[in-house]
Amino acid sequence: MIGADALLATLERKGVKEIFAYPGGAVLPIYDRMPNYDIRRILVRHEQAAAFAAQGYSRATGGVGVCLATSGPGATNLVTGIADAKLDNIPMVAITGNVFTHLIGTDAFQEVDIVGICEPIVKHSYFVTDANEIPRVLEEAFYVAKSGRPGPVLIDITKTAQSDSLDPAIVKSILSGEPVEIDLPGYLGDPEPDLSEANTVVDIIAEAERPVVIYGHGVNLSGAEAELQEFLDITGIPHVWTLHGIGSADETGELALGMLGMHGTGTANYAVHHADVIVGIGIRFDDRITGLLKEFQSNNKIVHFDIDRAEFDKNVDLDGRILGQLRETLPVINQKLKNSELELGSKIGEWCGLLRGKKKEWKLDPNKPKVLTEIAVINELYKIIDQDDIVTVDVGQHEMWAAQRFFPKKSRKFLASGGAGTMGFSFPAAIGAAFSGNDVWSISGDGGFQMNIQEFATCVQDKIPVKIMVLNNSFLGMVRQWQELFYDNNYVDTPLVNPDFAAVAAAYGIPSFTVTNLKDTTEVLQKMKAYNDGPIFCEFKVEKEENVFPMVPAGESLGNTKLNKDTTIED
Amino acid sequence: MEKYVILAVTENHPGVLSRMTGLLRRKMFNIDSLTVGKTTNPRISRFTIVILGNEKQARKIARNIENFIEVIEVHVMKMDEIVSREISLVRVKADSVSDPEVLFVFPGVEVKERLDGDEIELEVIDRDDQTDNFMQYLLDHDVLVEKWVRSGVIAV
Ligand SMILES: Cc1ncc(C[n+]2csc(CCOP(=O)(O)OP(=O)(O)O)c2C)c(N)n1
Repeated sequence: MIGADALLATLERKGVKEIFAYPGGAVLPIYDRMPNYDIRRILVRHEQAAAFAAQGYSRATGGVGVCLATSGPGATNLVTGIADAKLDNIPMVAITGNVFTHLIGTDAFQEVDIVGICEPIVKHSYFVTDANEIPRVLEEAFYVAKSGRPGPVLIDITKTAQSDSLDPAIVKSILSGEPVEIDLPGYLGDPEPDLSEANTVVDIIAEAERPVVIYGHGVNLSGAEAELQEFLDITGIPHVWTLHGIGSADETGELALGMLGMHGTGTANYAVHHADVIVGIGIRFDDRITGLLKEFQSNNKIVHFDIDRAEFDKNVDLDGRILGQLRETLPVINQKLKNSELELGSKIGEWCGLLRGKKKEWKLDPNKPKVLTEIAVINELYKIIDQDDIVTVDVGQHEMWAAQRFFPKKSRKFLASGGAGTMGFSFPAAIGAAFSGNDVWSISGDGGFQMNIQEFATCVQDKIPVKIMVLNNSFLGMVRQWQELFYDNNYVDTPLVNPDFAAVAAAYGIPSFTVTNLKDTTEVLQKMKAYNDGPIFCEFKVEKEENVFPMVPAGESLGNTKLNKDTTIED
Repeated sequence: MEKYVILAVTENHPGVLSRMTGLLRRKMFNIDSLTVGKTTNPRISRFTIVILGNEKQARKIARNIENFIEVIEVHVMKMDEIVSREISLVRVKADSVSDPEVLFVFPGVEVKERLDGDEIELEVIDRDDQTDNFMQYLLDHDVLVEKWVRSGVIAV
């Protein structure tokens, strides 16, 4: 048994069914052995897509996606996808080959220090030169990627280690299926819950008059959706969510106020701006949701539930902290709230009434669309999808319009590149998400779609059933919007000359449509929904210069949320 | 701004040092001093990192360090609250030392030898602030310092 076998056998044992990969010289020993293992290879057309597909798989299933690339340019092509996974806390194992061990450090052909390059963007990384280490390193990598605060782990393996034979004793233990021992004396995995401030937190929550809950990605990463819902039900506190919180609780109730932040709903931003208590659950108080920190943090108390102690007091000063997996800590707080002498909810009636009113007043899309806008397409899509369908979005206007309008009944149904905001994410992420067994819709703008348009070929060769939508406004829409609003309509390099996307799809052998008016939208979407024989594509030629509102200009307070060009929520 | 010492016990792996310095750079700390060495257990290393900042910044960065997989234990302390030492190897021009007494004022200084009659070699083992003071003292007494090599601070 050689290193390549040890790698593949361990992946198989970890339950890995598919890997998103691209071959090259420094991973040939692995490719040579792949047909002997029960692992499906998805042949992407760019390594960045391998990383996004692996992520898409993780995001959709809660498992750990795996991608693989050769040394040098293959490895560097993964970098954006790894950084994106780090910023969004996505568990992923990225495997790269490197040159022969004796060539390391000689500037050999296609040698790059990928471990060095990725140092700030991984949760952990390994450089493997000894074949015997491969089983343990893989075992550790999966554990590290998934436990605690999840993240990407990089394993760089020299060609020598892939080709060398393992010691017979290690081979024996691999073949016998014995558990592989891990050796991580400094790593705790999931931290022990720290509930030392629980009583303070309960008191702050119970005594609040204008409280609001902000929940985020931590909820689904911890599998704490039911516990969160219970918390919301017990307390009756109005709630808002982050981009990655979408779907983690019931988002259709009167006190479900919408996504908050730069393109959050007026009501969500209003509630956070005026709250006397903010309860942050599995969030990281990122600048896109807080706006101007000084104002976010004024005249209120903030309590924070998180798994990473380093997040406490990072961006905001806290009044209470609960450390641990949310699925473990929320039930304790819920119980305390239930047992508490304090009359929950007695003080928040007026506040809830106010917010219910605001929610009605600032309802999105009060009027029926007359022309083909992105909002119209997004609303039609939302109407026709099933509750298990997954939607991936790219980055830009369409992403924000969709995020404001999707209220899936489950988490892991709305996938976006949040922390990094990487254009080109949607399509390859959808390819990975398709392996969850659910129907997957990928939405992109005309700009971002061309960043990974080559994955048409992957979908065709590997028969991956993604329903691909491009909302073509002939602009890098979100950047154009900023140029319009903050740079005096100076549209430098945002107008795009695009190909006939449907023709491109057809050239790859993908059935395709072009929709140019509103009345055809539903019919085509229905056709896409019904189609189950591989990828299907549609381009929607939408209105060109629409703007996303509400909007908080970068760096300003949530109180300055603009409902349209001329009115803010405080007007 | 004050000096804070971060003591970290880590696995003795290649790459740990680079993760530490990378983190400090990313968070825009200028490292005042960093030393690392093996312990009685060759698989374990000890880091002494001195940074300038306030207590909040020091605690924040310590939590980030704690999050590294290979870091086993982290403590943060104010520099003046713990036992620390730094070693300096110093060479001064012999004929610039008009009064040999100046070399004996600081208790941490040991005069090692005269090298080829031209230079005097000193070894200083002291707290880093005392070492700074001694440096200044020599300059004030017009002693010509040829070389001054500092080890960086170690602390327990
Ligand atoms: C890789 C990458 N490059 C640049 C950007 C900056 N950027 C953010 S949104 C955007 C425009 C996106 O245009 P498009 O894909 O057409 O989507 P739209 O905004 O029109 O919906 C750009 C260029 C980015 N987020 N990612």
